[in-house]
Amino acid sequence: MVEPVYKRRSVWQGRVDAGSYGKAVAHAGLHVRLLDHAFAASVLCPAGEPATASLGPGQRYSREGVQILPMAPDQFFIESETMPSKECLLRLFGAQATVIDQTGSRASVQLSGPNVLDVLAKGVMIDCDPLAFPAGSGRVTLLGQLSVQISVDAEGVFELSCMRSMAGDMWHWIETAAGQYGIAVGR
Amino acid sequence: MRLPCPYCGERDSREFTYRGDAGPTRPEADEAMADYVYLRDNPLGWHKEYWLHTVCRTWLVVERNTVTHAVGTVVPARNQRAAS
Amino acid sequence: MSGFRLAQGGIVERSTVLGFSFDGQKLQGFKGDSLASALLANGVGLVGRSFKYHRPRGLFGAGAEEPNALVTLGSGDRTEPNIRATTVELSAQLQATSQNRWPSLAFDVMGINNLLSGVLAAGFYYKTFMWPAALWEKLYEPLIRRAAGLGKAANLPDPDRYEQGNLFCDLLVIGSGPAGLNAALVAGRAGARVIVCEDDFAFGGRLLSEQYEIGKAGAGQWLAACLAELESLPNVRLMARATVFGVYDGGSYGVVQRLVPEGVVPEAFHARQCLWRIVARQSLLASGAIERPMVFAGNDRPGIMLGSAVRTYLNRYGVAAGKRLVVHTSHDEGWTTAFDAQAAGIETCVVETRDTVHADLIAKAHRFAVRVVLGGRIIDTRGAQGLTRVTIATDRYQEHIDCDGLAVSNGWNPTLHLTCHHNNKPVWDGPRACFVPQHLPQGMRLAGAVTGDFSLKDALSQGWQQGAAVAEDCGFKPAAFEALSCSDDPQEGVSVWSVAGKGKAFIDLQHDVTSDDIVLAHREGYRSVEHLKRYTTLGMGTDQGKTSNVTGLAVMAGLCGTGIAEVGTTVFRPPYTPVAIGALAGAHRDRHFRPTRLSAAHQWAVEQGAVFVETGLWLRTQYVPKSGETHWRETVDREVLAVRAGVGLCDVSTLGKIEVQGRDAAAFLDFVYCNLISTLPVGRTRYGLMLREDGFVMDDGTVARLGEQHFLISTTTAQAVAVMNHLDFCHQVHHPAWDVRMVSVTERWTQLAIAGPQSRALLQRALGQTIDLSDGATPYLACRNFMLAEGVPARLFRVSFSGELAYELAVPADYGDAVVRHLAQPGREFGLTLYGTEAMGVMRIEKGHVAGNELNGTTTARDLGLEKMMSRKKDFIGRVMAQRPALQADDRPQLVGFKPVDPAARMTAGAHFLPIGHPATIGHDQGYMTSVAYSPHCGCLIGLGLLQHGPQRIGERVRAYDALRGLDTLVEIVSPVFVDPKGERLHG
Repeated sequence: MVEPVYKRRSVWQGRVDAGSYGKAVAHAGLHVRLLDHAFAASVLCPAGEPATASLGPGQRYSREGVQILPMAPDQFFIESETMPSKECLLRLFGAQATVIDQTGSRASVQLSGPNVLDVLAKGVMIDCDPLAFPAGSGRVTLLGQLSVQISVDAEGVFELSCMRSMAGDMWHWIETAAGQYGIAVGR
Repeated sequence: MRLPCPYCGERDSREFTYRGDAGPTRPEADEAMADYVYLRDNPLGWHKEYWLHTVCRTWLVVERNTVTHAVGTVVPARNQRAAS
Repeated sequence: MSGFRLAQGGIVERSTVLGFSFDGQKLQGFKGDSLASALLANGVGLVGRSFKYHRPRGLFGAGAEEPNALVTLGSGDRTEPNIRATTVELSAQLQATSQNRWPSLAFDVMGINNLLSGVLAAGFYYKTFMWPAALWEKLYEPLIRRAAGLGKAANLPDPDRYEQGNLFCDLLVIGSGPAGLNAALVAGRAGARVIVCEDDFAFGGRLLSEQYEIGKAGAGQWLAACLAELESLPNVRLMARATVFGVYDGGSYGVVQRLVPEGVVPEAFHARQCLWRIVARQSLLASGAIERPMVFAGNDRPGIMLGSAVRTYLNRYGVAAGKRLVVHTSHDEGWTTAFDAQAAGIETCVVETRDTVHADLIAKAHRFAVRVVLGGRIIDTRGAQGLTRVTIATDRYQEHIDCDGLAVSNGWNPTLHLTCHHNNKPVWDGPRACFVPQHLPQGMRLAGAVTGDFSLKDALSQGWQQGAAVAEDCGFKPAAFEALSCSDDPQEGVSVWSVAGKGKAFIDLQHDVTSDDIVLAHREGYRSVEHLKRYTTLGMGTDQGKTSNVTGLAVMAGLCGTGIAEVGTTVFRPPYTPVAIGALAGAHRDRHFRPTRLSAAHQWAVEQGAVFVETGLWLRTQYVPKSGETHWRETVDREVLAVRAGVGLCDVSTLGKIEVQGRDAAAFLDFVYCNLISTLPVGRTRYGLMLREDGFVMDDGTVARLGEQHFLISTTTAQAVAVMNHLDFCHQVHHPAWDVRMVSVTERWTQLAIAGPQSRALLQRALGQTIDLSDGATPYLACRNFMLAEGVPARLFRVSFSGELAYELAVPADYGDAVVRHLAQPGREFGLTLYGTEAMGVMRIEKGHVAGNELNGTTTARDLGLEKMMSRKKDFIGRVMAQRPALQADDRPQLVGFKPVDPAARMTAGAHFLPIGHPATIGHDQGYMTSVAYSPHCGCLIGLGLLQHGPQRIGERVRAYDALRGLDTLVEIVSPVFVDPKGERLHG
């Protein structure tokens, strides 16, 4: 029998197309990139694991191509574009870590543009201003009623993710909160 | 209302779920279980409560004043036994 | 009336003319007008009728304190009642209508109430409408409802959008008068994050209404320069039309910002209002003060206004309140009204209650040719639809003075409401003759008139000092204060609390509370301030007594012979001014009230024509109608029959899935489940039952052991969050030292149930060589990981909810769509039927499997026939309390099955069981039906329920009594397993 080929369908496929949304403006106030991480996982370490001593809360770390967000004491959420090797995970999290594949479990977007802070203020429950949320910050908080992970890079570009099943609600929030500024969606 | 999570910092109360009195400890003796499940003090003033910070899934023991709403110490519940 | 626009003056933009309408009359105003100032400029005297007596009323104030000018804006679904005309920014095509009158303002039928005022005194409704009692519902209440109320709501869905947001700052400045702006300047310049919230549509506070000088120039120049600088600072945010309505815990403030003026339709993509939660390290309340009126007979006629309001209309809007003005004052500041008016060409006379005043004032009055009466009180007024004359009395003579405007000034009340939101009461300051804040919410400071210091000089310096203090507290270095010269007129006065004249003297204009009502309350024993308020309704209107509270309790103090301090005030609570419910709801309305969670296979289900049902936050397929089917029962019956005869597919992704790993995972699961989990072999699943600590069943699910220290547990959809919280609690609080690693993977996996005698065949065909589904390799209750394709892990569980041969296939969510489409393909050979929660419900009831209806929080394992699951070999949550005598009682209703004796009869879940031939009373209640469904196999309705001694009464009959639906069905007690009682189909 011929082996079936299963076509992968990321969370944004068929849900949101690239293009312009909201008010028709010359320059969109919010730029959105729909993300699709190839690999994601929850990593749970024993209490006081020395390998993770430098991964304190409040930041999103980039180590060996892996983005690491501390979620709770001894708990991390990692994302990367290629599956990290066992050795890499060993170095990052020690030998006692439990790695649980969570690929596809979250819906992620990148947000940037002149009005990105205005848009975030209309939903995110923490202070996203660079004074309180400087480059490299990463936190878990609420966006309205959705639990979200939020981080910002050196260029002031934010990454926001929620549970996959709530992707529709996160997109609805983006459309509503940013509509007045004009939205440009790319992939 | 805002509550300070030791891991995440001060956050809006909507990020938390309230459970109840953090005073009683689950007893070893069967005879004490009914009191543990049902009896609670209802003080005017300071008392300790269990709150869950839903975004980091950490249970917290929050010392809070029921009259002034002031928040005192907040420790992770897993450290409570060590602390008390 | 008599108001008119002056040829010059005011800070309105005379070059921009705006057309608007009031009660259908087309009028014009200027940009920068409020609706009130535009009405006044057009000579509109009547703006409303009072609440109870329907007396004609005109403008009284110029801001949020306005009690009379409540209008309705807009029409249709944008109708907005009870808006104060004094706070509305005039906009083009604004449509306003007066309220509380029929058929018109000029002639109001309900004015008859005025003649009945003796009967309609305070508290009249406590003493009337009592007899005959039968008339209450039929007559009195409908009549009262029609007569009562102010304004009419639209009763149509609100077409506009409301937003919510979160802002953070070091200093929140509440009020943009001189105190607030100076604080914002010093803190903003120092680098602190400052937010300034101003209730009005323009910044400046009192500076807009007076002819002050700051630094040898007009205050307007200072204001413009200040605002320009603040706007240029990136760390300062200015918010106009933003009312701080509440002070909450932890430095949080509730602010509602009107993004467009009232009555204006927002542009597409824009919201109408935004509710902000502002978290401020410190705040500065610079909310100013509200003037106090005089109390005398006939003090409510159109044309009588607060002196500060008259000055606002003059100086801010360039509108005169009348051609002949009388100023009745007990304070120096009232004289300013006379001087400003006379300078604008309005003939003015001052009636001062004090016998002597500062010589400068007398001198100035001579210079301005203003007539002065010292030691005088107004004791009466005339003019039904507008003031025409006042009667003054000194101790020597009485005199009538013709006039069409009267400005009253009797001191100031600091606007301290926000200081009281944390249950603090203000304290009476005798020397200053006003209430001042006593204890403040944490982090709040005061500056300006709100402190009881009413001079401009104090406002500027206090503002600066407080702003600088906050900047320092936040680690910045503020500049030192440089005092500017500013106009500093005398500020003395002696407030008058007594009522002058005979006739109605109004205290609360909005609720028509007169001084007689306060005398009545006193006489009847309602003397405490809390009783006074509730008995007379003083201060209970939409204006919350801003111009009446203090006067009212001063009158009561006089009657009681005590000081005002002893009477005290009631507690001010949020909101300071009315807040639209829409703003509080924000985006949480209609479909978006809560998030909607969708499975990865949802899109495919939509394509199949599935009908969905809400299960918690999820949308689940309920049933999938085929063309030609007209009733859901047709569909569901077909689905059930098809699954039991062939094979069906159901998306079960919504059930909670939790990974539990770690050295102590098995011990932990033994602790949270009532049955033994640690004995579960690797590669097997087991049904698990979780109790609450009080011994009642909390949830059920399956536990799959994928490894020695690797478990995967499932929960019901509805309880997934509660169970996860519970597990975290059990770990972190009860066994923090155990090595247990838990995380939810509900979103990671799409899980599909494939059930029916052909399920193995279908799955084997679809999955090919990737897995061996033969009974030997995958026996009942087996579980395992396998690779669906290169790079696509999957899990298979041989578990069954339907009682048929069945499997659950878990695939990564990114492949959920592809896999379900693939399974549906070869399905056509086997007749794969997509089924939903209804069919699943029928099948589990047919098999006597408990679900949410039975796990309703009041049932125990024993009630459900599952007591053998409770292990005696270990401690677990609920072990002790489940054993208590009440939960072991013989007569607790227990799970059993039911069938109607007449197969065509109807029976319902929720029906209670009664013995035949006994009355339907609680004493005979033997239990209740939990689940009912139509079983195609049995050809009738079947049910599960809890019945006293149920399992011992099989074969007997009882009544299923449902008074709500008018049913009383004779039912037979049967085994709860209706189909395949030996469970042979599971192993097919």
